[in-house]
Amino acid sequence: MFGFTTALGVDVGDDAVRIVRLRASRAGFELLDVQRLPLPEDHDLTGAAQALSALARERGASRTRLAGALPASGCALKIADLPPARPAELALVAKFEAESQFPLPLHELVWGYALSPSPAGRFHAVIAGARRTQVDERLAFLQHTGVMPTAMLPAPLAAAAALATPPTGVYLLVVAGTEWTDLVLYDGARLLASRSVLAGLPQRTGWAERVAREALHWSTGQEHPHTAVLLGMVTAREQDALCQTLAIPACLGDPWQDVTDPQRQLPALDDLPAAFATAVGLAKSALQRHPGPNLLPSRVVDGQGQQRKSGWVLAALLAATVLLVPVLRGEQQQLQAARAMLHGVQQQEHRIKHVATPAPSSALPAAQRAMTALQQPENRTLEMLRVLSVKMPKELMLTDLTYERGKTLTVRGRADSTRAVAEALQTVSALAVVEHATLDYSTLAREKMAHGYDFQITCTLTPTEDPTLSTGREKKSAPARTGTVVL
Amino acid sequence: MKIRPQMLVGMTILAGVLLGGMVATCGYQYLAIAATERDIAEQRAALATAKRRTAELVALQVKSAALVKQMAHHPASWSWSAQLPQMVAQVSALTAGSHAEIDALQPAPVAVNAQLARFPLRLTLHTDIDSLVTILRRVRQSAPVLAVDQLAIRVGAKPDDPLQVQLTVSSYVMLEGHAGAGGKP
Repeated sequence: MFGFTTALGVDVGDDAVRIVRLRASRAGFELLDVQRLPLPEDHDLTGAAQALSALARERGASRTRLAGALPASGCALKIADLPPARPAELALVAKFEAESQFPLPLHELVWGYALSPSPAGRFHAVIAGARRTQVDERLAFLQHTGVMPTAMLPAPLAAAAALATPPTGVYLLVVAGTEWTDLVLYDGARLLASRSVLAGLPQRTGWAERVAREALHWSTGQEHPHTAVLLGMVTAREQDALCQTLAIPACLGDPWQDVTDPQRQLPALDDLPAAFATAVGLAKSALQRHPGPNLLPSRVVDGQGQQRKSGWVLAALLAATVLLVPVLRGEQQQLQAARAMLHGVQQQEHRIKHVATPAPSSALPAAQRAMTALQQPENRTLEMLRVLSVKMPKELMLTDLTYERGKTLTVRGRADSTRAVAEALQTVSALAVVEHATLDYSTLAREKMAHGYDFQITCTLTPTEDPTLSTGREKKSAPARTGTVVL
Repeated sequence: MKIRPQMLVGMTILAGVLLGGMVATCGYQYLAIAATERDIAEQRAALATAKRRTAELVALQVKSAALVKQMAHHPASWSWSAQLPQMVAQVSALTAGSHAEIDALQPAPVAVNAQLARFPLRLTLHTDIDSLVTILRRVRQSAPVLAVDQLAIRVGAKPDDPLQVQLTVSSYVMLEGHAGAGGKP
């Protein structure tokens, strides 16, 4: 299906089936196989078909292009000059020409055409047609190779393709079989006319005259041949005879001219070298992919196209699959690595969560607050006493002190004067822990021995944050008392 | 080997199915990688949180260890009966070597809040100012911690009489379990 480098040309002649397998090489072509399978007198192809099948199996022809030929006596070859047009329009014109030139309706025929450019943008068309039954018979025979043929050519066109260096100008190609001889008039690569002559074996007397008679009106025409090339079952004797009768130079064509024979098969061949012209031309045409008017039925061609497309699709799918494999593998490794990393992180988290760290006591926050509160200045009684003893006026004596943590501080005493009482109030108010200080009373004590003012000052202290002292803020919201000074 | 058209179609379908499967697997793996990377990011965040909490826990443990020296750790059933011997011993140590005389000791009701229990003990003392200062200094330096809840100082009737002092000191206990423990001995 892919990478065809060899081609098999199978020519079913009058006397034998000739098979040539070529390989394209840089120098031209390389001969791989050449076989001649003789046919019986009654032209029964059964034996040849079996031999062909065995040969194909033996040589492994499944990866080979196959081209077959139809005898010119069973084909109709028509020439048409087509106007410049697009390919689709040219196809319609070619069909019209085929319908008008072939004597049989087209549905009974398998037909094909080949175009070659002419001057002024026109096209030279060679239209070939053959009976469908004949094509099917030949196709069935060729399928014994196990390979579906890619081309089915009229035999003389295939033989012409075997010539490595065809003559320039107008020339006559004579392809001689044991019964039929095909005459083709060429102008360079352009086919001008074709006909077949039941001239018999060339070695028999009168062959050259019969051929010359058929070619006579070409010789008198406007495009008359200047030379003749002989292929098929001919030798130098027939060449000379034809040269004399046609009165133009004639030469023996060599279909093996550009074919190398590394296995030295040609010298051992029990046949005339030129007899393989059609088979060689078929193989060359199949390799070069310009077979001329192909007489393969459209179902075969379409099937091959479909198969080719399927092949390409399959190849593309396989290529995409192959390309996807490393991507898939890379992603798989990446996924595995990511999962391993995730597992590692999960394990780490699990270890940390389940490490034997005893939970701290739930009482800890409260205890912390209580400790913090105890370190606050308002809770340091010693410092408070020290400040009071240092900063209170000297004319004043404290007789009673009551301290309640975070709540109140009450001092009572006797002062020499109201000024000292006022200073005492000022001193107490200045304490940082005191939020509000109130002079509760200041009364003159009329005693014989001691003369002075008894007083009481009550201070509201900053509430403590100790959680066990829930009443810490109660007094803060109490209405402030106004002091009364009694003189 | 000759490849029949039917075989070719079959192989093409097979290759298509294979390719489709591979593409689907690729898509799945792509999505799985993305999801796993998201999970990794979430797990890393959770790990960082767990590490931070562990560090906080360790810090709390350290703090707790320091606090336990100041405030004993006892079960929720801890009561004045259990606390009193230790507290009497601690209070006795406060006045040891001073001129203070403890006239009376009276436990007050336990105050419990947020699983922290405060055991107040009311003392009635006769002492001079120097001894009182000593006692207050010892209270401040005591371990386990003692808090001065109330302090009432009255001078005596005569100038040479000792000071009459009512002092309420409290010790603290961290309770395990539900709150509400404590009571009178």
